[in-house]
Amino acid sequence: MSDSNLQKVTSARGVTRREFLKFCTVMSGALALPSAYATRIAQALQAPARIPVIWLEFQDCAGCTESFLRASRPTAAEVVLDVLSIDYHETIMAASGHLAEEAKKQTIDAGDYLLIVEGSIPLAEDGIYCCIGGRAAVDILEEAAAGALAVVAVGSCASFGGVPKAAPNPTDAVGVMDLVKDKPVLNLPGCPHNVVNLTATVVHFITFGALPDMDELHRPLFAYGALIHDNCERRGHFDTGEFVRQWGDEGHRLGWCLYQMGCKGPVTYHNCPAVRWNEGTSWPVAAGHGCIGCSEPDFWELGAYSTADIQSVSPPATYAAVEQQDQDISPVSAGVIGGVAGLALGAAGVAAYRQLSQPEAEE
Amino acid sequence: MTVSTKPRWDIPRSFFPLALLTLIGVGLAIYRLTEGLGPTTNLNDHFPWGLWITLDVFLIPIGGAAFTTSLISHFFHDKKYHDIVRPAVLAGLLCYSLVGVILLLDLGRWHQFYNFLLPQYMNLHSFLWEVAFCVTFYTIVLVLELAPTILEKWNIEAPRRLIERGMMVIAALGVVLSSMHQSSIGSLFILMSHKLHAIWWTPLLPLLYFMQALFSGLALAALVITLTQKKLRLPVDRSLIVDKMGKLMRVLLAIYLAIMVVGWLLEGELGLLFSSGAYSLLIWAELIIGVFVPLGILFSKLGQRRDGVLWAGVFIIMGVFFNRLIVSWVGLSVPAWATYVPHWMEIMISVGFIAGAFLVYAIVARHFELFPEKH
Amino acid sequence: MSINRRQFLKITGLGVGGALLGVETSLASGGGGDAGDHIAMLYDATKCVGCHACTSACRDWNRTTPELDASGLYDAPQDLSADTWTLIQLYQGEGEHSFVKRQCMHCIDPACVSACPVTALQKLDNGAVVYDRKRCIGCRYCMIACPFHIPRFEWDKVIPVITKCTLCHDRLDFGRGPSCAEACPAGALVWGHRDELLAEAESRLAANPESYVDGIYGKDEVGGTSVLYLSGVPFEKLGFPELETKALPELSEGMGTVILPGLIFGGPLVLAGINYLSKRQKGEES
Repeated sequence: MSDSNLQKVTSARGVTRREFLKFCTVMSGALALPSAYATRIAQALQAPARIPVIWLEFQDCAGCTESFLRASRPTAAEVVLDVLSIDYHETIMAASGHLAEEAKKQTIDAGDYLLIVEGSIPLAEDGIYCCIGGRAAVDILEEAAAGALAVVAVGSCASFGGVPKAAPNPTDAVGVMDLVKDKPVLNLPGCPHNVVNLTATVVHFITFGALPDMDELHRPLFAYGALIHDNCERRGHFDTGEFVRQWGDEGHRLGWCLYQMGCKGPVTYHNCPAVRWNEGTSWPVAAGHGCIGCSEPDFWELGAYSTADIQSVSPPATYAAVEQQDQDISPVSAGVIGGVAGLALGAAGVAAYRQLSQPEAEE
Repeated sequence: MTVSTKPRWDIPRSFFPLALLTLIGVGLAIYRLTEGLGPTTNLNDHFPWGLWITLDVFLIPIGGAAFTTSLISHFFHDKKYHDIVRPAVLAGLLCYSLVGVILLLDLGRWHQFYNFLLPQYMNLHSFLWEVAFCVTFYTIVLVLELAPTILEKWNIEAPRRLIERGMMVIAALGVVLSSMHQSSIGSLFILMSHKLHAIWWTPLLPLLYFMQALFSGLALAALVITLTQKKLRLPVDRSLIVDKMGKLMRVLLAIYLAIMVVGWLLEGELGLLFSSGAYSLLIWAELIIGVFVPLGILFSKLGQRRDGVLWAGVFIIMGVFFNRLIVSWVGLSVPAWATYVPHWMEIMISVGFIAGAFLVYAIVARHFELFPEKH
Repeated sequence: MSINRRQFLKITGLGVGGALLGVETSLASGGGGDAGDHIAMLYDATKCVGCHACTSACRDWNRTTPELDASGLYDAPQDLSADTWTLIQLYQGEGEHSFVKRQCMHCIDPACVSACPVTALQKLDNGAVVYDRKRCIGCRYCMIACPFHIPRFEWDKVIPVITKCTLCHDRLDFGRGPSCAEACPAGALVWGHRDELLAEAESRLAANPESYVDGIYGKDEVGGTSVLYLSGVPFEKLGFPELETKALPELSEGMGTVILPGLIFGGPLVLAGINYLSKRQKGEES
């Protein structure tokens, strides 16, 4: 672990200040913060602090690590993560075996680190179904979480138990938040998670010293606060009833809504339509396949090709409202009728009164 | 100076404005027929019926001037009514002609208007069909009833005598047809038990509307007869208006009020007269203008005056107009945001043709013998 | 010609003519009978996702013109109109919401069919209520008579027509269903025979009573309709009027069978009586 000013680090890596500031602006956007925060982020990232990180992998496929490694935005994101000083990561660290475990122990003893967890934790038979270095995952997690500043669970497995938790769940797999109760836990579900959201979470943590606001499933609201359905570029087709009925039909070619092909966008909270994948290249719906809802707990039970059961409504503002037939006179009608009636009655009344109050005219 | 010696080219001042209004009305009517209802009216999906239908369902009851006087003259053999039957029939015929013209302008597919006369298209269950059918044949009856007046001017004797001989049958037909369609206008709205405000909807609507035709018809007859006699400088029969028409009007109006009240009582709706907000105001306005004020006049000393009876008639007619306005327009439930105010063209067309009716009446009154007994 | 002969002719002439007319008038109304095998639709508001596939399909089949929203991009009708024969509306209340599909209810004993003076609206044997522009005179009485405020009018055409859902009766002839029902992706709108759909609706109510408001709208309202509704919120909130079970034509046709024949038969008799009595009275007075 060494102190270094991010400015120095970045210029050493060939990143201009302008590119650096642009990165900070992008981060503030990803965090759904006003652009004024970019300055604050830049300041935080220039402060000489490198937060140590322990990255644990349990029942995982390493897909989340692969996603993390795709953060190859012109070295700036990598640089930020250098700032983090990743002290333990089974897949990418240079050390192995006892040396690696020793590095971890040193980091834990020093404290004030960020704990990132990938993969679910099995509990069956005292947790023997995932052992690293002779120790059960559940124990490793307990020890590592004790001294952490905060815990970030990347991927659906670490968040909710993921695929290992699928029935019959022989290993009794659970997510991090089911075990760690006394530390702030943030979930970044997704299969895999989107590294942009991890980067943004880390930047938030460094800038503000706390995890971003979360929903009741511990997912950060900036990334999981809206349904995919509400940000989807094909939403207009949904609202006007233009659906793909068969793979390759004309609607598919025209880019129509994939709801009938099983898209889970209407029931999935994630920011894929906004930030996309692989540096904003694309995302499933844009590629012509419906969302499978991978950031939701137990997403495989939704069934990839059965239509989503839409619960919450967010129709466009132009949605027609129910028409109630009233038995109330509109003010306009009342005014017109009242006016005309009043005039007629008034005129007739006055004329009648005048004539009838005088003696009857002789013939 | 009698009417028949007036030179033909002596045109009174009122002719020109009336003729101008009529011409404007006709011009706008042609525009309506060639451009459709959209640009010429403010009718919409929530107010499919507007000023023209309201006028139609108002003109028909007051056009009852013809059948009431005809009934009393021919079947009750009342000579005083016999003397004044012609102007009443003329007024009735003009009211029904107005209805015909305005209705034709209101029909969206007016080029097929005759479909209701075709046996394969008739819907005998429809009260609108019944009204259309009866009004059509009743207008023919009115023409026949007025025919002697026209024919005798040019001494076309044979048809005139034929019609005079069959006048009882013609008049009977007229009374039966009138009773049918006057009550059917009420039946039109029976289908709308859920749309028409409860204060006005009642299964007794056909009966109430028939009665309205009786007393408002008499009211119009009284007004028309008196004004015509004055204009023609003929002696006015005071006792007809006061002793006969006035008394008949007040009896009918009182029975009408009683039926309405009984109807409300039986349905338990009397409370609605006070608890319906703007609608309460409307019903009270209708009752005060159209029932209480005229009853008050007719049952008091003022009812002994001819001008009292005539003013009562004016209020009765206003009350009937108010009622028909509410039932065909305002009292029907619509979405809160829907609105309808007649387009100026609707108004001008109506004004134009009404002016035309006045014009025709004046011309006929001046050139034909409306009061044969008076000379 | 003596008075008596004239009176006799009058009474018999009018009476016979009136008898014929009166008999026809008092015939039973159209519709009714066994509606169980009429084609019907069942709309389950709890399953509707508001996707407008039905509105789209209706446009496609009937070639109506889309009604654009404020941005001019999307077909977003707000209400039924001459160009929109069905649409989905949204009800949003305190913590509850529901979509509702609006279109002609294809009543078993339709008020519009009874009201139309020229039989331009007719109830077919397969249950659809259809419109014939060759007969229509554009009087718009059907618009006033319909308890559900359905028929719309082409106000901006010089020769306008009345428009409303046709239940795709032209497709029914080929064994296809209404295009909206065939398009629904969420299974909210299904079509079939009315008795089968009623049974299906009842079984849904029995299986999940907590998801639904108890009742099938259209089962008995105004004598029953062919478009049936299930809902999770009270029907009035969806814009459905509270209606009696009596079919509307029965209200007015009751009048027809009593008043009109009465006037036609009895009128001449009454007049003859008045004539006779008043002549006698005048004779006595003179």
